[in-house]
Order: sequence, then structure tokens, then C-alpha cells
Amino acid sequence: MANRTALYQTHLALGAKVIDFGGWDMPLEYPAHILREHTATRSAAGLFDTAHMGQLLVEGPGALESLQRLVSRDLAGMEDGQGRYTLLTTERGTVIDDLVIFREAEARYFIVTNAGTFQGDAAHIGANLKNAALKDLQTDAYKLDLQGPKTFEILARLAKAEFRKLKRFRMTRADVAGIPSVVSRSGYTGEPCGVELFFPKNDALKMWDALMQAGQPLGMLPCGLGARDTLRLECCLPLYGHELSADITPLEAGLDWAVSLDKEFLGVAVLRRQKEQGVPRALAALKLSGRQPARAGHPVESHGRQVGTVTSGTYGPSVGAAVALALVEPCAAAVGTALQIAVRGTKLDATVVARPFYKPVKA
Amino acid sequence: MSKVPAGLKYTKEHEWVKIEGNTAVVGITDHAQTQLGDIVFVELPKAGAAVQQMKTMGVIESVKAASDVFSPLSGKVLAVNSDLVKTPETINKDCYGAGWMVKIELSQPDELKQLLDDKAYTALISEA
Repeated sequence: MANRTALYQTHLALGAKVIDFGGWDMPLEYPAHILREHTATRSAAGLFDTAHMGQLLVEGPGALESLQRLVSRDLAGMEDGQGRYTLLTTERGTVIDDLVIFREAEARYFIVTNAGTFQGDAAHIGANLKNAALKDLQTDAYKLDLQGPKTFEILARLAKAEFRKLKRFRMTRADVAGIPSVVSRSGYTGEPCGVELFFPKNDALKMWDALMQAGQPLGMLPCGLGARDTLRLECCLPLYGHELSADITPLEAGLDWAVSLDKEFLGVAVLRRQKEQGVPRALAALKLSGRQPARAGHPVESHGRQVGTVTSGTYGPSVGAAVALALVEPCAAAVGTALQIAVRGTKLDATVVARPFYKPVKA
Repeated sequence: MSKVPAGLKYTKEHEWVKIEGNTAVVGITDHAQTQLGDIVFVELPKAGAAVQQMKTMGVIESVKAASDVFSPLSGKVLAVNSDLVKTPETINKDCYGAGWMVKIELSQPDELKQLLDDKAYTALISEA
């Protein structure tokens, strides 16, 4: 049987349509459906159950040094409460998972992983620690994402602390709805105002109900994985298994900024070679001319020849068009390039555009 | 609970049929549009095209996935709802009315016997 978060019955009671994601039964959408959940998040707020994601702690004098050897980004110099997005790499320079690593203290690092990759990440990190230990936090910890322009207004009704001044990728401890929580200014929607709330699993229903009560009058909707995908794709955020995988390097995925080539980490030699010789393929953002979506796996063509493949595709409501990400030959990835996507016998016209497709308005 | 109007015929693939003499108006049911979620694109046959019972005649794209639309009856497409090109979400809003998809001139009226009435279709979707 698939895993279920502590709020599974709550989602069912709200009329959620449930799908399997990474071995978890998760809400795809609620009765409002994906498009309304998406637009609510961009104009007011969206509440997402993200407790299926992994949470780990790496603690000990060797914590930083051990993690430095395993991830692409330089983790040195972070302040307490600061986090960085990074890739966990293989010896081939490809990606095991994308993570956010927060420094809680000098010898304590808190890591958030994807759901389906969590076990593999924990095993890999755990096997490669020196003078540090790994702790799986997921048994007792919960996570909810609150995203959108009304985020801080909603939190103000539930907490004395002022979160609006929290900088991006910074976390702080505070009581929210009377529940001791860690609040980080981060998320997966591209919205500048948004938080991830970490708190004890036993308080999941209390926190959910408090947020629903505070947020719904302000236009907040509960949102499922469907809206989570349309929101991230409009902002060109990668999804592991699509834009990132054990066959794709961070440089091919356009994540150069998350790679420190002068650091020694697993697979860096391959990435240095890619930087020197050029990547064999590159991620391109394709805006389609119509509303018909392209999907992962659809071939991308230029002048009748296949030059790549779609990695993710959907209809972007904030963009007003179908949008897709694709891995293509580097020369086909230049902004302005006209391409075709082969979908069920038809060729859909698309143009490579600058990332992101959509830039959320700063509240 | 999904709406299943009496007076229409239905298929196991969740299309509805309204018979007007030797013409059938076809769309997808309330159950189908709820299951699909937001419809963002519809691909329909052209007027004049031949269609065959239970063969695919089009595709509906929702945000998440593409779903085949099957022709409930054999015949020739007389008309296609061109409003659905600009506003495919009409199917979500009014699947039995403004969200109609095609009008078919029947070539084998006997096929009507194979369609479900509203009671049988209601039973089918209740089991799901």
C-alpha cells in the first residue's frame, strides 16, 4: 500500500482526487480543480500538504565537510538559519536529487528532499558521512507549504512573529497557531511570498485547520500536486525525474549557479569537462503558439529533424499558453529559436523563450 | 453527485447522445468532465469526416493529461462546435448544453440499441 500523510482523510473529506506520487497517495486537486487552485495561489494564497517530502538532519563536527563532498554547491559561509538549493550528485556528475540544505548551527544541517528519492538520498548521505550522523526526521515531522501574496497576512492571524522580513531561504523558529514551528521563506511555486512550515506531525490537523480558517476568508485555497506542477513549471523550476535525473547533469539542466566547479565533490570532474567542452544538450523553455499542451517524452524537432525531447509540459494559466521544458541540442536552445513538437501526428509550433515563462509580482 | 439527464443515451466511455431524427448530438458527461478536471484543449474531427462506433474521434486535453473521445455511433460528422477551440472550458461549465462537441448523421441507427439509458449509466458510474 502507498504511503499516506497524516492529513489523507482530511483531503478526502474535502473532496480531493488522489493520485500516486513517489509512492504516496497525494491530492492531485480538490473540487476547485487545478486552474482555480493555481490562480488562487498567484492572486491570494495556496495551502499545500507537502509532508511526503523527506526531512533529514546531519549532525556532528564532520557534517559540513561530509556534505561538501556530496553536493554541487558550496555550503561554506552560511549563517545559522540560512539555506541553499543544491544537487546531490553521482560520480558521473548526474543528479541523485535536488535538495535544500539549511544550516541550523555550526555542526547541524537540516535537509529537505523529494518524496520518492528520500530513501536513496538518506542511504547515500548516511554511507558517506565522516564524524557526523544522519537522523531521519520524517517519522515525527510534518511540512505544509503556504504560498502566494497573502501568505504573511494569513500568518499574522496565527503568529506574533513577523515573517515578512524573513529573507529568501532563511528559516526562523516561531509559534504558529500555538504550535512550535520552523518557518522558512522558500517553496516551489516561484512566488516571492511563501513559506514552508515545519512542525510536529501530531499537530498536522491543528495546523491545517488553523491555516484554512485564517486563509480561506482571504481567498486561500487548498491546492494539490496538479497546481504545484503548473506553478513550478511556469517559473521553470526543475522537477526531479523530468529536468533532473541520474542521466542528466546540473549543467545540462541550466543550473550552473548551483554548481561550484572549484570545489571537490562527487562527479565534479565530469562537470568540469562539460564546462570546458560545452554541454551535449541544454534545457530550453518552449512557449507553444496555442493552448494544446506538449507532454514529457514528446519529440522536439527543427526542420523535420529531432533535436531533443520534452521533459515537462502543461497549460500555464498565468502565461495563457501551453508551456514546456525540453532538453535539446545546444544550438536549438537559443532564445528565439523556432521549433516544432510532435504530438500524436501533428506538429505544434513553439519558440524558445527566456526563463522564466512567468515572473510573479512582488507583493 | 454527477448529473445524468433523462432523455439522453450514454456510452461506457462517458459520452452522451441526444437523438434528433437521424442526427445525434454528442458530448461528454458530467462525470467525465469532473474526472478530467480543467479542459484546456479539444481536438475534434472535421465536418464531413466519417466516424465509427467506439473508435476514437478526438482528444480532450486537461491540464494533466490527454483523453480519447470515442464516437458513440457510426456515421458522418455534420457539424463541430467551433466555440470549443477558443473556450474548451465550456465543456466543464455546461457539458450537456453549450459544451456539445459534434453532430453526427447516423449511418447505422440500429447501433442506438447498444447505448445505455440514464438509469444504466447512473448505475455504471455509481459502481466506479
